[in-house]
Amino acid sequence: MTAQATETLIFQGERLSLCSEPLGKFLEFTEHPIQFMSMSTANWRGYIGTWRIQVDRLYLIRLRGTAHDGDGFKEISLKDIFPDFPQGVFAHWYTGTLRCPKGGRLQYVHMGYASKYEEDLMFQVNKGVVTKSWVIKNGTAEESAPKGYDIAAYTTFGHDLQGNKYE
Amino acid sequence: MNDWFNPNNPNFFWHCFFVYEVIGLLALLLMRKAVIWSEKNKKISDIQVAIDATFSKEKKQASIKKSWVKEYFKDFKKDPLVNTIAPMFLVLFWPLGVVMAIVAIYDRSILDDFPDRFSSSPKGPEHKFNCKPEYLIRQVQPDEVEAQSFIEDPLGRTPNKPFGHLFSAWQKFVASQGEEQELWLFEVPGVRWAGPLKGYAWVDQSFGKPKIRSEFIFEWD
Repeated sequence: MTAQATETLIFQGERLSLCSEPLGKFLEFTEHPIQFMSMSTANWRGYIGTWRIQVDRLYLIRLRGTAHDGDGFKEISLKDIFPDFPQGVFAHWYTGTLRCPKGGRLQYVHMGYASKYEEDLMFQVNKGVVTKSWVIKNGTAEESAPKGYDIAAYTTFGHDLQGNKYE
Repeated sequence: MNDWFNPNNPNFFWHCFFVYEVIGLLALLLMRKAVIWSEKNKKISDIQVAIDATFSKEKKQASIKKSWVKEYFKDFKKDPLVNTIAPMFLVLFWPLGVVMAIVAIYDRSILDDFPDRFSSSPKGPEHKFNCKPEYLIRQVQPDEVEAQSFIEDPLGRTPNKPFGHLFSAWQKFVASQGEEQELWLFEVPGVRWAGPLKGYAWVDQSFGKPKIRSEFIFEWD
């Protein structure tokens, strides 16, 4: 399995890589009719969401993905999932832990979100409300180590990770 | 040909493997036919099965008509990794597939009890419920549940309806109530690979033992 593209979390103005998928179970348990389609081995879920922590709550503010549409596919945005809230939605359905890796890379693992970085910024979320945050120190990376989350290699099926079609 | 199974033949292993695979292919085809035959001819021996058969008649007919190849590719799109590894596993270890087919013929519920909460695919209408009778906590009334389920959101990015963004799923669940079914709160305890789940289920008590008819999950970890 290939390392996976992260979601994005905006926290106190900083854009972080989010190695959790708070929308996943929502789509599953509500049996949502949109069937996302993977366009890359680095994004099997078929979408990338941008989340923001605001007033101690988790909001999904942007979504970009692709879904099955007959024999082809179509672009999906937040308004396709939440038509009445295109500007963002409170993720009250989510309870769990969010992990945002930061700093230099300690170890690359080409699977899921398994790579290790110097720090993990963690958030405990209970029904969409952030109840606790803390930092886990994993070690110090070499000076030459890449900074921030990245994926070494992946195969695309006609799209790049940002959803731009290849001609 | 006589030389095929001579252990001194340098290709002895591959010849044996070829025969193993041919037998496997025939056995799996035979077992598939047997499973389909047993599904079609299952005797309706108790009321429960009769009711299930009535409710799911259309679905069963539809599923029989659908090509398994089409079904496979549909599943493949949903979960490519699992649907690549599983056939390879079956090709190499087909006797296991035969055993599972025999189990399916005699008692499908044994297979249905395998944990499926690893799955990342959206569940279809045939999915088994997360709720089991032992997870039921107490009977509740829909009005009472709705009154307690409004979401507080200072930014107003949640519908002012019970269960917020889950409201349409809740409505669908409420509409699925059958005759003489009761609404129950349930909680599925967490396991090593998945956290606890909370939800409501329509429960049919008319057979003495509670039967889960549908479920709505509103909290998971």
